[in-house]
Amino acid sequence: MELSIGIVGSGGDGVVLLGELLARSAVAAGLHCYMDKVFGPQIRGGESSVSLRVSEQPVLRSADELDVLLVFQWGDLARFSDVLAVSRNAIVICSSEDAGDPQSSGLPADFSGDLFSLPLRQLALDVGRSKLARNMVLLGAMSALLGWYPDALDGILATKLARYDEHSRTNNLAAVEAGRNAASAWQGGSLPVLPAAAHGMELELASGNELLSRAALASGCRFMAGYPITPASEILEYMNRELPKLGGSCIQAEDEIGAACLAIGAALGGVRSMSATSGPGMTLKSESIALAGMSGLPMVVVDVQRCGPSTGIPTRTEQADLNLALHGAHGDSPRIVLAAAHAADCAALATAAFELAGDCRAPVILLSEQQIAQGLSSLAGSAVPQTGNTAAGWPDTAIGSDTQTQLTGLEHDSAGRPLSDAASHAANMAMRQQRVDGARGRIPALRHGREDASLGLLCWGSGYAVCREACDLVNRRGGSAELYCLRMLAPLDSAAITEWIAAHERIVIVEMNHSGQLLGHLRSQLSLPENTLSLRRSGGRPWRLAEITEFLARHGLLPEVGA
Amino acid sequence: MSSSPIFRNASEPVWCDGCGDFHVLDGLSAALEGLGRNPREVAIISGIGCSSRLPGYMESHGFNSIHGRALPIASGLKYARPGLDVIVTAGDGDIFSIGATHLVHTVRRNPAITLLVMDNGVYGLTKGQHSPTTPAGTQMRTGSQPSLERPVDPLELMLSLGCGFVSQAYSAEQASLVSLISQAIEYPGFSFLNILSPCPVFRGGMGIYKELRRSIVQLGDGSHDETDPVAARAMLLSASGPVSGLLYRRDLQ
Repeated sequence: MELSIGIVGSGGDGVVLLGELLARSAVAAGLHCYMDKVFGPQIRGGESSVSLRVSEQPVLRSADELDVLLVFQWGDLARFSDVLAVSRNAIVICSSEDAGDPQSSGLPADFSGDLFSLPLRQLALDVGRSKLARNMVLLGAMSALLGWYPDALDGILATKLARYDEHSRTNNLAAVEAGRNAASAWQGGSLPVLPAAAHGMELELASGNELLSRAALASGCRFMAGYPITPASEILEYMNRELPKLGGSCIQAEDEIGAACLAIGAALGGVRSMSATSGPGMTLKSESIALAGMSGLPMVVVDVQRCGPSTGIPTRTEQADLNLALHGAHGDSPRIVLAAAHAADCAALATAAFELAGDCRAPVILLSEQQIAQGLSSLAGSAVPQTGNTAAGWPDTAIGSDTQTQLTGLEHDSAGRPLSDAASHAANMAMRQQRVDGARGRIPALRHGREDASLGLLCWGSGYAVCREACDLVNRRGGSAELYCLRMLAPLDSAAITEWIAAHERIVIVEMNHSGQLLGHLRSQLSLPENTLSLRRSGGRPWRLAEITEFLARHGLLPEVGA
Repeated sequence: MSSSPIFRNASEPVWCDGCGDFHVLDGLSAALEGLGRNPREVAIISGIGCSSRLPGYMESHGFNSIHGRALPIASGLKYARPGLDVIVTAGDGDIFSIGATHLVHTVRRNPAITLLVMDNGVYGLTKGQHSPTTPAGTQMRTGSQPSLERPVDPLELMLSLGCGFVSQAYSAEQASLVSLISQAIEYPGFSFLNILSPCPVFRGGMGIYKELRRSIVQLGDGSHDETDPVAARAMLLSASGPVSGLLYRRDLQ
């Protein structure tokens, strides 16, 4: 059983805070949840939305349709019509002071759910002389209408409001109460809220960016340099807060190039270091990445992908930096490329990235995506990396040891002396490729579904969450499908992939970019069956399950219901 | 002056005859030896350019990295290994053009590293294009039109950025060069030494040495107060030629 809730508003309405309070109280009640944040292109200001899915089972993505919708202004829903699909039976709580038209703003034409409107602004003004607490009025209404985990909610609210002054705290709590009272007038239907889970497991709510940062610290990373960029900034912010506590340093650099070079400098000193950015920053770092490869220095660079090219849609998710991660450099510049499949995987792969960079003395690029990086996921508290572990170094590369270290970006001999003969260049090129090849096969793909399946879905990154559900659906309907989600894109374990492909009758490659970058990459490394299908589109919004299933149905790969 | 064997390795520099950088190599080696430094506790980081070949001729740790990026790499190293003496050797194109952003912000961060710029007013490695310190109107040997832009004044720039140690030396005056390098290395924050290091091949022929010797204004006779930033600026505005010596030094708390 599950429930899906959407919230839309404008910057300053407190949409994200409201979503977080709902999510945290559900998690405190033992339920799993995933909360996607989708903003307009302005990053700060403009419209914002969250889509929250609460379930008894672990969830990795938001649902296709919303059961409950909270609306500050109808105009804001209209701006998210491509992201938020409202169920025709939804419960909608909105403002009676808003002249906007629900139908033209994105409610389904055949909407037959319940529309409950409240004077949000007036209720907030009545208790606190400020309209800012409208989100708290909605929270109260929600709590009364759906019985939203009152025990958990009060505790979460107290924690969240603890940093406010007495006056604001009182006002906010009064606004929640006002919402609760106003909702008691409700005459319509109601959705059953999921019962609090009794599994006794402690769940935590965290974003991919936070989990990645925590894992980096737990892996001994003690230096980070970055430059503010959406949607990677949270990594810089987290490290900036936490690194000094552990005796490390975090620098907000002058630019992306400076950030990459600062990280290289720290690696030169034997300290585990990293930088994090998004696509535009990644292009700027490509010269530095080639330097790390040439001089045999470990380097960890995170690219949290967003819609490109250029500034693109900086707040929205996409998977279009694969080519850049694989090939973005002058010359032949081997690197290891990892891609996280979900928030917890950001942590697993960050840990792996530091190990591989040190073992292979090569650059490691860890790809994440806006959806994974900024969305909040529940996970068992025991699965959250503990950050207090001791620092680990990259001792083999360290300047400052007793051995003299001479490094250069020029082609060079083993003592770091420049050379310019073709044969040595060829030998070194092979050596650098070999370093990276040492990583092959060390990060297995994620598999899900039936191993004897005839249909194979092949994806990377955020494709995992939706393809997993698609597999389950196919298998529930009596078909047989298996998912294979690649996490190490370079070096590619071609033998393992080829073997997996051979075991399935039909392969569908799923990815969120216009040109089919994974498809092209696989074609360059191995032979794909002629009837391989490519399901791809550019980004801007997360996948809906229906997009996958409709594609499968169109190709006769989805059994009919009851077949 | 002969090179100090402790800090010089056996490699023969690739610089042209008459290049000022030979003196800088000697001066840096002598300064480090004079300070009693251990080659294993010194790291010299460079970018790209004739001057950036210098770390390869030293017995210390060294990294000849990429164009313009020596400062952030050196800064990262200093964060990782605060006990190391970290020295950046750079050229004027490297540091005032492609790496200028890093210069501005390294001064702001103020790591205890030393920047030695070998300022020859020309891109020597790429054979003679005008650089950010080439005087406007100079006809270059590449045959392209004379440089049109106003040159950067390194000392004015560093004063305006708030750098705590601003100095200039002339490569051919070895004693003051060694003294200024030593003071810069001993300074507890970010220290800047601009070294007028001629490139007779691409800027002015061997006559440039005579010209510099004639025009240089020596500081250090006691009349200039190097702790006074206003006096430092006034000195730059009033001096009849390039100054040599410690222009400004701010004590760090």
